[in-house]
Amino acid sequence: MKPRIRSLALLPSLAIVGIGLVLPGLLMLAYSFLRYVPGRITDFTLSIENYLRLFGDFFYLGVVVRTLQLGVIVTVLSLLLAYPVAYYLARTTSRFKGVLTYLVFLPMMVGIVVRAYGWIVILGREGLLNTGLQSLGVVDEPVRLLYSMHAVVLALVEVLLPFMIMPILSSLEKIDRHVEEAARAAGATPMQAFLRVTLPLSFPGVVSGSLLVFSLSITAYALPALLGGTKVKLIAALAYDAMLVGYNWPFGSAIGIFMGLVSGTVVYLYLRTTGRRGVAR
Amino acid sequence: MASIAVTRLTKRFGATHAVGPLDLTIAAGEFVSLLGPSGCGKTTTLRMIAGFETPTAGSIRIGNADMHGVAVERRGIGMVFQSYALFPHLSVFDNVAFGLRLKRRPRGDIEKAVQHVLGLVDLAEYGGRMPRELSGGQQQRVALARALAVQPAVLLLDEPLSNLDLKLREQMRDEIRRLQRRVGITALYVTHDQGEAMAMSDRIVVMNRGRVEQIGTPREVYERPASLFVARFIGQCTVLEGRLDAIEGTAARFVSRAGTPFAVECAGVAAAAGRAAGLVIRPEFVEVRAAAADGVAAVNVMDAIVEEAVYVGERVDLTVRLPHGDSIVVAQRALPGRALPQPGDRVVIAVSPAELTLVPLPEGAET
Repeated sequence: MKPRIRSLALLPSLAIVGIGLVLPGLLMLAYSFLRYVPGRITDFTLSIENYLRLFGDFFYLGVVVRTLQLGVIVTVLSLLLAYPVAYYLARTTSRFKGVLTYLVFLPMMVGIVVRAYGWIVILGREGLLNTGLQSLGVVDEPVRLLYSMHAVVLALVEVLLPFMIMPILSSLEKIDRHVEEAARAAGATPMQAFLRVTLPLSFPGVVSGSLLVFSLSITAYALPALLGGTKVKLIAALAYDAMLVGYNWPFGSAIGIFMGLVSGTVVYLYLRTTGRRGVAR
Repeated sequence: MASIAVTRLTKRFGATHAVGPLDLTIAAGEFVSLLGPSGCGKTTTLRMIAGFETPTAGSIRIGNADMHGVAVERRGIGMVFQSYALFPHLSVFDNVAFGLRLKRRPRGDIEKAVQHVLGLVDLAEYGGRMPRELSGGQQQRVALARALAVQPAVLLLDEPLSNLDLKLREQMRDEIRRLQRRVGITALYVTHDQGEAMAMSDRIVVMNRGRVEQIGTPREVYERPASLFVARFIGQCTVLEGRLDAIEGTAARFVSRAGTPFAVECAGVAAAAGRAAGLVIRPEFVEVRAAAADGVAAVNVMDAIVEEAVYVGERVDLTVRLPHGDSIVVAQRALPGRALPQPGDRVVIAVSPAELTLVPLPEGAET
C-alpha cells in the first residue's frame, strides 16, 4: 500500500479514539477546574476546590490510599500466582500445551458480572465455603467472607490473572533455551540460572503484566461494587457516586483526572524502566 | 585438560532409538569431531556428555570422574552453541565474567581473567558492548571466550559455525582450532559439515542413525572409509557393487556386477572369496591418460569413453564408461592451455590397487 493510503486507513480508529477518549478527556479536564453549584452542576467559574476537596479531606484521601493499596496487593498476588503458571506453560513439552494455554484465557469469555455472582455463590453466608466449613465442623457460625476487602482482592486476582500470565508467558517464550543452558555450563545451578538469566530476561513481561493488572484493579468498578458491598469504598465507586448519584460532575471529573494521572505515571515509569534496561527488543 | 571416556552410551526417547551403544575415548588435549547428517545422534551425544540429557544406559567419564548423576554445572565443561546463546541483558564483559562471578573470585582476578580471554579472541576492546551490537562472528567469539573463561576441563561445541556465512566460517574454524591448541583444551565438536570436521579434527567420529560408522583421523576416514555410508558422506566417490572373487594374501580381485575386474588391496578388511562388497573409487586417485595406441596390459589400467565432462575450475570432473558398462567419476587437473577431454573422447584410466577401498554392502544387497 502507498503511504498515503496507509495513513488514511488509520482514520477510523483515530476518529474513535478522538471522539471517545480525547474529547471527553479534555471535557473532563475542563470540568474538574469548574465550581460545583448544586442543582445546576456548574456556573462555569474556574476553581481548584474539587482537587482541594479530594486531597484535603481525610475521607477521600483514605479512599485514594486504600485503592492504591488494593492495586499493589492485587498486583503482587497476581504476579506470585502467574509467574509459575507462565513458566510451566512456557517450558512444558506436553502435547496439551495449547489446550492448557487456552484454559488460562477461557474465564475471560465469561462476563465479569457472572463471575462476581459465582464468587457470591462460593463466599456467601449460605455459600459453598461456609456450608462446607460448617459441615466439617471447622466453624459453628457462618464466617463473613463476602462484602469485605478480602473478597474483592480474591475476585480481582482471579479475574486479572490472565492479564499477568499472558505477557510473562510471551516474554519467557522469547528466551532462547540455550541461554539458560549456557548459564548452567558456566557453572550456575538451576536456581542461579533462573535468577540471573531467566528472571531478568522475563522482566519486560513482568513489568507489563504488573502494569496492566495494577491499572485494571485501581479502576475496577463492578467487582468491588458487587463483592465489597457498602463497606469497601474505592475510587471508581467514588467517581460513580459523584457523577451519577450526586450530579457533582466537577468533583467526579477531578477524581477521573487523578486516576488518569496515576495510570499515566505508572505507564511512564514502565516505559522508562524497560527502555533503560534495553531488554525489550 | 581432561580425557573423555564414553562406554556403551545409549539414549532412547520413548520408543525412538537416538544413540548408541556408543564407545569413544578422547585423549586429553585432543580435538575430536562428531560428524553426521542431522538426526544421527551427534548433538544428543554431546548433550549427554554435557549433562543436559540423561543417558538411558552406559557411562561417561571426564578425567577420572564418573559423570553419572553429576549436574551440568559440576562437570567442568565449557560449551558453545549454534545460536551463540549470549546473555542478551549483559555486556560482553559480564557475559565472560558470568561463570567467574558464580565462583566468587576476587574482583581483581575476574577482571584480569576476562581481559585475558577477551584478548585471546581478539575482542579486548569490546568488553563494554552489548551482544546485540556485535556481528555474528564477534558474538560467537564472545561465546567462545565465555566458555573458556572458567577454565573448563573440556570444551563442547555444538555446530558453532552453522549460523555464519561461508567466508567467516572458514576464518572462525581456523581460529577455534588455533585457540584450542594454544589453550591445550580437550575439544569435542559437533558438525554436519565434513569440510569443517576434516580441517579441524585430530580424529573424526562419523555417525549415522545413532551409531558410530567409523572413528579415525581425517585421512583415514577419507582414504579408507570403513563403510558405504562413510564413503558417500565424506568427499566424492563412485561405489561399484560387486563380489570378491579371488584372494591371495592382501591382494584381492574384485569384479563389479557388470563384470569389470579390479585388483584391490584388502589389508585389514574382513574379506572372503565370493563375498559381496562395494568398491570405493575416489575421483582424484584415478589417473587419466590420453588413449594409447598399444593397449598396455598393466594392473587396473583400462580403456574408457568420456560420457560427461564438467569443468569446475581447478579440475574437470569426468564421468567415464568402462568396457563392461560401469560408469565411474574421475577427476583430472585442469591446467591452462591444455586441451580438456570432451564427451566421446577415448581415454585410458589407471588406479593403483592400494588406492581402492572395499566396503561391506548393507545386508540384503544382491550381487
